[in-house]
Parts: sequence; C-alpha cells; structure tokens
Amino acid sequence: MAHDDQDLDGQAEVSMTIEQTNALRISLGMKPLTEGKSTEKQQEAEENFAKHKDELAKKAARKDLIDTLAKEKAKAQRNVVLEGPTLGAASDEEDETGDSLAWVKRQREKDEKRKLKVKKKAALLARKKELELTEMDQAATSAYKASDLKGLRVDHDLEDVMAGGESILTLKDSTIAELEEEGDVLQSVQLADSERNRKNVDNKKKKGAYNVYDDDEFGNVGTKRNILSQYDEEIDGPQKSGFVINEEGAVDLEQQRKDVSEQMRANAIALTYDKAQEIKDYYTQEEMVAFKKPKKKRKPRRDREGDIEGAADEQQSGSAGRDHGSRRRRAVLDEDEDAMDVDSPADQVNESSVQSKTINYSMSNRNTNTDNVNFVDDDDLQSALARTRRLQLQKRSKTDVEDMAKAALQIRDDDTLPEGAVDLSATSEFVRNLATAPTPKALEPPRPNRPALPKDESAPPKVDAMDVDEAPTEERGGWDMDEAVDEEPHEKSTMKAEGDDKSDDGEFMPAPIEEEPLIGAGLASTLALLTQKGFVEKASPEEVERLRKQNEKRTWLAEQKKLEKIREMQRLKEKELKREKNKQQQGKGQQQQQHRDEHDWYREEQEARYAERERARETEERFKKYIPDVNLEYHDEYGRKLNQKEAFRQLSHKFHGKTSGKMKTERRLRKIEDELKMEKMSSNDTPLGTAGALVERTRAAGAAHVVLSVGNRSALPADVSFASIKPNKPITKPTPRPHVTTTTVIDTDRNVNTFNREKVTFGLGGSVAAAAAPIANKPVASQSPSSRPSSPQSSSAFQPVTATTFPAKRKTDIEDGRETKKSRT
Amino acid sequence: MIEIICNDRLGKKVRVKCNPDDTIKDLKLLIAAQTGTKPEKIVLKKWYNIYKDHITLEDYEIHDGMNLEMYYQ
Repeated sequence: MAHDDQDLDGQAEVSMTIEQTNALRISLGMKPLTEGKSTEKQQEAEENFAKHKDELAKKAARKDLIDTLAKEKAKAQRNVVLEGPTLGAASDEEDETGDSLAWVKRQREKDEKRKLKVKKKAALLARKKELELTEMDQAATSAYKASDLKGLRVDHDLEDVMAGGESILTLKDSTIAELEEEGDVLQSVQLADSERNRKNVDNKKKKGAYNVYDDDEFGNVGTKRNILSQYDEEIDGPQKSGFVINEEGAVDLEQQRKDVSEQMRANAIALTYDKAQEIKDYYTQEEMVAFKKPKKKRKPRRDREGDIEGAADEQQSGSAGRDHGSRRRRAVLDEDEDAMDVDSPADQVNESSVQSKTINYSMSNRNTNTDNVNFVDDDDLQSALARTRRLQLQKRSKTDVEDMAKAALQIRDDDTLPEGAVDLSATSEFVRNLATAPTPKALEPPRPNRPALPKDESAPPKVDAMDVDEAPTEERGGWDMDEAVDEEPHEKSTMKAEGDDKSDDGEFMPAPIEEEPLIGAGLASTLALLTQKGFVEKASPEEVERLRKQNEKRTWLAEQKKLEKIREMQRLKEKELKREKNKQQQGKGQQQQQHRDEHDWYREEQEARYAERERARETEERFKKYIPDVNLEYHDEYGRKLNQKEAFRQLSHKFHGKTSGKMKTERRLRKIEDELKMEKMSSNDTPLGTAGALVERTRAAGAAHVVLSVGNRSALPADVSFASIKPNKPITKPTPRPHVTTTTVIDTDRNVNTFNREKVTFGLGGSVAAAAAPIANKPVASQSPSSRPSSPQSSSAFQPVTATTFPAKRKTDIEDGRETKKSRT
Repeated sequence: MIEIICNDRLGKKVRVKCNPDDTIKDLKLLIAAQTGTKPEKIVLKKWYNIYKDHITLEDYEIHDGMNLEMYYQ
C-alpha cells in the first residue's frame, strides 16, 4: 500500500499515491482529495485581491489624467500674450508730436507745482506754531514771576554762579525720595558738569588724604577741619552747598557776608593774656579733676572691725618676723602701752600737726582747695591709728580666752559617756596595767618631775585656777598666756595630789575610779565589764544583723521540724482510721461493697487532691519566712580558702577546660608554701627555734650567757658540759616587787676568769644552739618558760628531780588551768 | 490537496496527502493508516503547540509541505 523512499538523512519516508489516499479516505468515510491546493476561502481571497488590484489601477489612471490636464492648463497660461498698448504705443498716444522738449517742460511744471504746495504748507505750520509758542510764553510769564522762585535752593556756590556770568538754571533731576526730602533744587547743567568733571579728575589723580599746602589758613577761615575729614562725605553723605533764593527772587549778598563775619567772630581767639598769673606748684581742684584718672568703683569694704583686725594681723605678722619669744613680744607690747599712756595728748598733737600741715600746704597754694586731696604720707597719724587698733585687739583677745575657758568648763560639765563607749581614764589605764602585766616597766618608780596626772585631765581646771580678776596677766599679750597658765596648775595639782583630796572643791580631784560592774552579779554584768575594759568588742551592726538572720533561720528550721512531726502524726492517725473503717466495711455485703468502693474511690481522690493543694499552700506559707543566710566560700584542692580573684580563676579554668601553664602553677604553689611557712613560723623566734633553745640553755645553765667555745676547742669541754653545771643559787624569777632590784644569774663560783678565752654570746648562731639543744630540750622541751615552776626544790636538784616531779607538777598545772578557766568563765 | 510531512525522529517519517479542510483527527487517521500505529496514540506538535483533534488544518494554517512533529502517548 505505502511505499518507502529513502530520505536524505537515511530515514525511510512513508508516502501514498493520490489514488491510494483517496481509496483510504473513502474507506474511512472522508471526502476524496480535491484537485489543487486552494480551498473556497482561498479562491475568494484571490478574487478579492484581483479586485483590489483593479481598483488601484483605475485610481492611478484617473490621477494621471488629472495631472496631464493641469499641465496643459499651466502651459497655456504661460504662453498667453499680454494685451494693451506697448511702451511705444503709449507715448504715441500721449504726445502725438513725440517731442521730448515738451515732455521735459511738462515735467518741470509738475515739479514746481508740487514744491509750491509744500512750501505753503510749511509756512502755515510755522505760523501756527509761532502763535502757539507766543501764547504759551505769555501764559507762563504772566503767571510765573521772580517772586515764585522764593525758597528755591540753588545747588551751587554763589561765587561759582556769579563767576559764570549769565547761566540757565534748571530743576535738578532727583528721585522721589530726594524730592520729598529737600524739595525742588535748581542747578546749572554746565556748572554741574564742570563740577562732576573736576571730581572725576580728582578721583583719577588719586590724591592722598594729606595735602602739604592744605592748612587751616587756606580753607575757610574760622572753620576747623575734622580729623580724617576725607571720610566725611562717605559717612555723612555728600555735603550740601548752595544758597536759597529769597523773597524777591534774588540773593542778598550783604546778608551772606554778614553771616560769614559773624561765624568768624564766634570762633575768634582772644590774644590778650593775664600777665599777673603766677605759676603754681599744685593743681587747683578743677585741674585736679581734669588730671586725675577717674577712679574705678570698688567693692564696699569689710566692716570696721574686720578692717581693724586685718590691720592688727598685719602688724602682728610684721612683728613675728622679728621675734620668736613671748618675752620680747611682751616688751614690744609694753612699749605700745607706754605710748598708750600718753594717748589722748598724742592724738591731739597729731591732729594739730595735721591741721598745721594743711595750713602749710594752703599757704603755699593760696587758691587751692585741699579738703578732698589725700595725704598718704602722714606717718604720725598712721602710727597713732595703728596703736589704738592694737590696743583694742588686745582687750578683745583677752576676753576671748576667758570665753573659751568658760565654754570648755561647760562642755566638761555635761560630759557624759555615750552608750557602749570604752572609757579611758588615767585610773583605769593604771589599774589595767597592774592587772595584766606586772612587767618591770610597770614597776618603774614614777619620775619625780613628772606630773601625777596626765595633762589632758588637768587641762579643764587650770583655767579656773587662773585668777582672772588679778592684774598680772591682764597686761600681757593674748597668746602667750597659755604657757604661763600651763605651768601654774601643774604645780597646784601635784601639790594637791600629795595632800588631801577632799580639802578642796573637788574640781582638782584626779579622775575618779570608774565604777565597775561586779562580776558576781551575773553574766550580763561580766560582759558589761569586759566591754567597758575593751576586752570584748561590741558587735558591728552588720554582725548583729547576720546573727539575727542566723537565729531566725535556726528558729525557722526548728519550727519546720516541729510541723513535720505534727503532720507525720496526723498522717499516721488518718491511716489508722482508714484501716478501721475498712475492717468495718468488710463485714457488709459484697454488692454494696463494690458500689461503695467506686464511690469511695472518687471521694478519696477528691480528698487527696484537696490535701495536696493544702500542702502546697502551706509550704508556700512556710517559705515566706525563709530567709537563708548565704555565704559562699570557695576552696581549692588543698582546702585553702580562696579569695574572689582566685575563685574566679578556678571557675574560669574549669569552664574553659584549660589551666595556667607549668611555670605559673609552680609559682603559685611556691607562694602557697611560703604562706604556710609564714603561718607556722613563730613571731618571736627564728624558724629553727634558736631563740627558744637559747632561753632553755641559759635557764638550764643558770647563766645569762652561753659558752660556745673554750680556747681553740670549738666544742664545749667535758667539765663544762651542761649536765655537770649546778647552779648554786636557786633560779628565781624576778618577783614583781619593787624592792627586788635585779637578779643575777651569772655563776660567781665558776668565774668567767677560769676560762680565759671564753667566747660568750647572748644571741647565737644555729650550730652551737643546735649542739646545745638536745641537752636543753630533753626534759623541758614541752614546757614554756613562763609555766615553769619556780620552786627551789625543782631548781636545786635539776635533772633528776624535774624528771620525777614533772608529771605531778604538770597535773597541778592542768588543774590550775582548769581552775583559772572556771574563774574566767 | 496538500502534502504534510510528519516525523517522529525515531525512524518514522510519513508524507501524507490531505485536504486543507481536513481536521487533525482525519490527518491522524491517515497517518495511522500509513504507519500502523493507533491514531489515538499519535500526538502532533509544532514546537510546544499540541494540535487538537477537532480543528482543521486550515485553521491551524498548516500549508503544503509543512513538517509536523509526531509523538506517541
């Protein structure tokens, strides 16, 4: 049916012939293939196209026709011949003769006629104009006279106008503002031009401000130039010159001249002078005012007293530069007083001298007024004033001291100890010293010249002791009084201390023995005593707060425990009840039982829930009062307490999983070790305990010295060995009694001389001490020197006895300790 | 009568003679008769346009000697 033919790309193309296709189409029920490619539509379109083409062609043909027609028309128009007579024909028509002369004649006639016409017209016009002008002139002159010029200003100098001969003045061009300001101004155009020209030329020349020949005498006489007059025009505007026309329309020259002469006369300088005028040495007051600088206003000065004080201070500081002792100053003051004795006459003298001086001045300058002139060089007056001031000051200062003393007394009167303060009086201190440490220092006899009471105790009464009314101190200076006063009461008080206390007012009594609370009264009183003595420090508010918190917490915990117990009990009770209930119910029927069980279960659930809620509420309530006392402490691996920085470092290391390097760690460890060592170290001994050893050794030897070597031998000789040394005198501790002055511990029998070249030392090197140590430390190592019994028995037979008596003694010691403890608590 | 070439680019290329007023369905029938594939399995395309069965070749402006792409579904 289909046949394949090879395509270009080697593909088999399947195709059928027309007949085959038609057969197929018929079998498929389609109409057979139509001949030709076009369809009906296509054909129609083709027809349409043909029709369109026809139309176009027709149009083109028509247009062509029209064009040709128009062309033809134009051609015909172009070729039309003009009608009418030609140039030649025309001339023929006008002048048959054809004479050019006649034509010229005619032309001339025509011309003349025209000219005449024009002339006539011009003449007429001129006449008309003349008439008009004359009319206008007449009108103007009849209305406007010279008197109308009254008050008009001419913008030129009179001389300029007159020099130019006859000139026409016109109204000046001006702006409306100018018109408003100055009204109509007349000016001559020529003059204005020449003036402008002159100005321009001047500007071009660029003349300096200074003109050699320009002087007062060359300018207008009598008028003085201003300073920097070249700028006057720039600042004030152009100068107005000119004159005003008067009522008759003229200018009165006489008047002008008079004005000028008057002006000059006003500026006239009198050439007469007073020959009798004498030359004075001093300015008159008027001159003074002109001469003096105007004084600046000063601030109001201090009040009078302050002023005086300041002056006195100056005076004092001046004198202080010279003398340092009170005596000399007093001498100076005495001098002043001497001066004071003659005070009033001196003042008078001074006043009179002042007066006389003023008179002298006035004599020299008769006319001058010297009332307000300041004389600063009056030394006498100044010194007199200074003296009076000083005197006043002295009186003042004296009263001041008295006031101070009174004030101090008052303060002492209402002196009460505040709550919880430690009272430090001389007595208490003394007593305390007696009680705690009966050291040799305490036994020192009091120095005879030393006052029995400290200064500060005796200070208040001393002022009273001073007799204010008595004269001797009154005349002294203000401040050296103190010293003198100091000495007096000391003597008095020492005397009184020796004598009877009650003989006087009681104000001189030494500080009373402080009332001490009795220990027997109870713990509170004991505590009070201790606080008073300063043994127990009063807790700071922070500590108190902390303690309070701790207490609260403790009570809270206890309460919680109690509540817990109670709850536990309740629970047990409930359980018991339930069990009983269950037992009772077991006796009833099974069916009912089941039903009830369900019901019960529900109820129980409810109850349980309620109980749960209740418990939650309770716990919440409970924890309301819970204020924990938190104190965070950090410890390192050795148990050391860390400070903030270290703690942070540790935390940081833990957090980052990274520790400091080897060197740093080692350094830190070394530091810690050092710290530990420091802690272990005794404060009054070397690290090797040499001081202790020395003490032991000296005690054992009964000597205040230790023999290190004899002769060449570096070691101790056998006979001087420690064991054989027997002190022949019992070692007694210095008893705290004043009559025992010194105790010798040096063995006199075994004199130092026996060992000629002994090396004696009191503080020794480690090696020898170490050598001595085993012996010394054997029996008494554990005993401190202070706890050693001072009985003669133990000290005389030293080694064996101590060996035997030691335990017993120790026991008593312990007992003693307990006893003391008891007594303390 | 116009001739249309349908190529499936897998080895079948059909030259079909048909009328311009035939529908695409008719064309497919003719192709099926020539190649032996079922007409309903044939999809005719030109670029991304899938020709629909009820529209005539004329309306699709398929002219003489045009190449159509043939796919199978």
